[in-house]
This record gives sequence, C-alpha cells and structure tokens, in this order.
Amino acid sequence: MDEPVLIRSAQHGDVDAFNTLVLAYQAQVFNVAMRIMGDRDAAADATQEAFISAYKSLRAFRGGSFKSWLLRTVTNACYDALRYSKRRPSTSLDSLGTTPNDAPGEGTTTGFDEFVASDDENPATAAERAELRRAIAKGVTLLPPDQRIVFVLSDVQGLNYEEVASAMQTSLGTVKSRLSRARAKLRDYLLTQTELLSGP
Amino acid sequence: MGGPGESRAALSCRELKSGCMFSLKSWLTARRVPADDDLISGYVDGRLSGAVRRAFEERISSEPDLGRKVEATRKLIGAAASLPLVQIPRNFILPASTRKPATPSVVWWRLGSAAASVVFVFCMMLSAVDLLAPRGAALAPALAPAPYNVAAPAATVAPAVTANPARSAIPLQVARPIATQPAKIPPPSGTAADETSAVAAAVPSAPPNATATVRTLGGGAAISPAPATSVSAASLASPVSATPPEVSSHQALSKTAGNSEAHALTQVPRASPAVVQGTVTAPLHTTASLAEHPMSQQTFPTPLFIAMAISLVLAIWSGIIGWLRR
Repeated sequence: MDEPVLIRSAQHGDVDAFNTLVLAYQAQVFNVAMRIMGDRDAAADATQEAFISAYKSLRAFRGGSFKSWLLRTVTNACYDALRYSKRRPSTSLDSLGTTPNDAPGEGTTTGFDEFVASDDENPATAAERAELRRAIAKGVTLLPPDQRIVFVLSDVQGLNYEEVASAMQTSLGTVKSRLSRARAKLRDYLLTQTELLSGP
Repeated sequence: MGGPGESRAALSCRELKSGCMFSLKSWLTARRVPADDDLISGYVDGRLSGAVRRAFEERISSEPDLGRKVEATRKLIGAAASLPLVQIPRNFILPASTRKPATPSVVWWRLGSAAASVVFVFCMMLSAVDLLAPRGAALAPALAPAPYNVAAPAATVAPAVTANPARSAIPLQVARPIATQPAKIPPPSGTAADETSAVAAAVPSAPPNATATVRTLGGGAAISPAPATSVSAASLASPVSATPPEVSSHQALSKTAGNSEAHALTQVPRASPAVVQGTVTAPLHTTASLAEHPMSQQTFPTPLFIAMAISLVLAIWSGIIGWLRR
C-alpha cells in the first residue's frame, strides 16, 4: 500500500482510495475510540464520524504522519461525543445488565469478553489478568476526558509523548502532566478497588 | 485536650490552631503529591535526568510507600499496554456517494463571498453615515451669529475665491430674498468670479478693519431643511451699523447688488465646503426655505448605490456557488 499515493487520490475525491486507508486503520481507530468512550456503540459512531470528517477535511492534511492525523480526528470526535453525552446524559439499555456482575463498563459493551487464557498461562493467572484489564477499562472511563485520551494514546496505544502531543495538538508539558495525573488517579483507583496492583 | 478548668476561648484557640496546622499540612501534602506523581511517571518512562533520577531512587529506597507506588504504576502501564485489541463491529468504509473533499476553489468562492459581504456592509455604513449626518449642523456655523469672527481682511477675500476657477465657474444660486424682493446680484452672468470681483470692487472703499467672514456652506444637501433662510432686516442693524466708520460687508454687498436691503444666500454645490468669504460682521438669519432648492433634496449617492448592488450580487452569487460545490 503506497500511502501517499492513496492520500493524494483521496484528496482528489477517490473514495475507493480513502476506503483502502480506512481498512488499514479502522481497527486502531476503533480501539482508541473504544478505550476513550468505554462503549462499543458509541465508539463505532465516533469512528464512523471520524472517518467521514477525515475524508471531508482531507485537503487540510499537509503530510506527516497520517496515523497521528487520524488519531487526532478520532479523539476530536470522541471529545464531541463526550461533550454531547455530558449535556444529554442517557442510559443505554445495553448497559443495564441482567446479572449483578454486568455492571457498565464490563462484559460485552466494553469488548473485554475476548480475554482468554493463553496456552502458557494457568487459569488463575489468566483470570487475574482479565480482572485487572476490566478494572483498568472501567477506571479509564472514570478519568476526565483529557487525561483519558492521553492515557489511552500513550499507555494503551503505545504512542510516545511527541506523538500524543501532535495528536492532541497540545504541548509536551501538558501531555506529561496529564499523563502523570491520569496514571496516579488510575493507580489509586485500582489500589482501592482491588489488590491487583499490590501483589508481587 | 483541655482540662476542666480550661476556658472555652482557650479550647477554641487550640482547635483553631490545630485546624490551621492541619490545613497547612494538607496543603503541603497536596503540593507534594503531584510532584511525586510527575517524578514517578517520568521515572517509569525513563525520562528523568541523571541527578534527578539518582535522587529519586534514593527516595524510593528510603520511602517504602513511594516504592510501592512506583511498582503499582509499572504494573498499571504494563497491563494497559497488554490490553487486547477489540474486534471491530463492522467496516467503516465510506459509501461511493460520499461528497468529495472540499476543494480550494470552494474555499476561494467562500472567501469571495465573505469579502463581497464585507464590502456591502461597508457601503451600507457609508451610505447610512451620509444619509444620517446632521446637515444642519454643517450649515449652522454659517448661519449662527456667534462664529463670525473677523478673520481676514476683505481685500484678501477676493483672491481666495477666484483662486478656485472650478468653483467660480459654478453659477451662484440666489435664494429668496427678504421682503419678497427678488435678488438682483449684478452682474447678470451671476458667476462666482463676477460676484467676487464685484465684492472686491466694493470692499476697497471700506476701511481695512471693516472685515468679517461669511462662510457659506454650499449645496442644498448640506443645508438643513429646517430653518428658512433669508437675511433679516434686523441683522442689518447689527453692530456693524453701530460703528459708522466701518463699512459692513452687507452694505458692501448691497451696493454691488444695487439693492441696499436685498441679501442673498449664495450657494455652491455640495461637498464643497468652502467658502465664499464676504465682509459681514452681522449675523445672518434666514427665512426662505432651503428645502425648496433643488440642491437641498437629499439624494442617495449613486456610486455607493452601485457599489452596494454589485457587492450584494457578488456575495449572494459566490455564496451560492460555494454552497453548491462544497
């Protein structure tokens, strides 16, 4: 895939070229939206909105990392969705679990039901890891949006500070401070909720 | 705690002090924790410089609580990085009917629309200022009694007027004189040059100090329609007549006009705020309505109207094209 050629074609209105880019990045974009939004449907909506917005404003792309540009678009879409949901709070029927363990942020709506033990992992360790991941996923949704996005981009997606700053269009110092606050809040939350982090 | 003999005031003071100490301590703690969190985050990411890192490691070894936080943060980051990818629920490809990305031409059309709108608004403001300007205020200094201070000798008046040939070529309009007597301002040609020369010819007979200035703002549009204009007879009995050695400019003008009582308001086209200077020391009062004068009709300035129309059409046109091609 020659990314620059596809980008140039998409800039001239070639939807097929843009769809090739979509297929290449949609998993990563959706996962970012998923971690930020904490809800599969909301993440899907934000992802679709991000790709539509990216296509319409593709002329504004002046080179550089297309991935960072896409991540910036999806974080903006998530920001908008979070602001909208904050103004109009609603409860999704999907989040109303049928069992006491189906709390919001767990189960199928967060997509963590894919956690299975690997072959070289005993079931107890796998269960502990799955529990920790669930706790992290729920704790992320409790963070403020700006700290949540920094944490997702940096610690979940593995972007370095500079890439996060570029994706969020903010300074490096802001990224560092937001990330340290997000980590501290999440760490304290996990320490109070579980003993997962205090183990060996 | 205080004993039974301790006064209530002393207890309150101790509580207050302890409260202050607690607040200060919590403030210090609150100020220190974010710094520790920054250090922990930077240490885990390996972004602390050598000296800071060594100092922090010494603190970790001496403060078990800080060490536990560092380990917990490491675990958290590791667990977050190992979160598996969530399977996408569907493809997010765009339908073929999706609109094209915005092209630069659309941007230019929109910019053009915005610029034309700005021009239109500017012309609107200009025309509004032009229409709403207090025209009477512009004429008021000419008609008010006070401002007619003696400014220059009459002998210097005539060259000042004749120095502008374009203006002197404009025929002077004569308003309705007082006492229903038609104005008779010789010479018959009625041009400003002739008028000026007539005034200049009459003035030398006056003493050099018998000079005043009449500023006649020209143009019907510049004259407020409210006051009627004419020269009253009372104005002729002004301080000028009380000073016999001096010759008033009214008299000089009257002599040149061949009519000792008829005084006319001379007018020049609007937008020429200048100035026919005569030799008047008395105030002028007008009785004839200037609204009757054809130049006094307020007309919409044609160039502004054309500019407004063109800019409005351009704004709408480019806006529609920019909207259609988005």
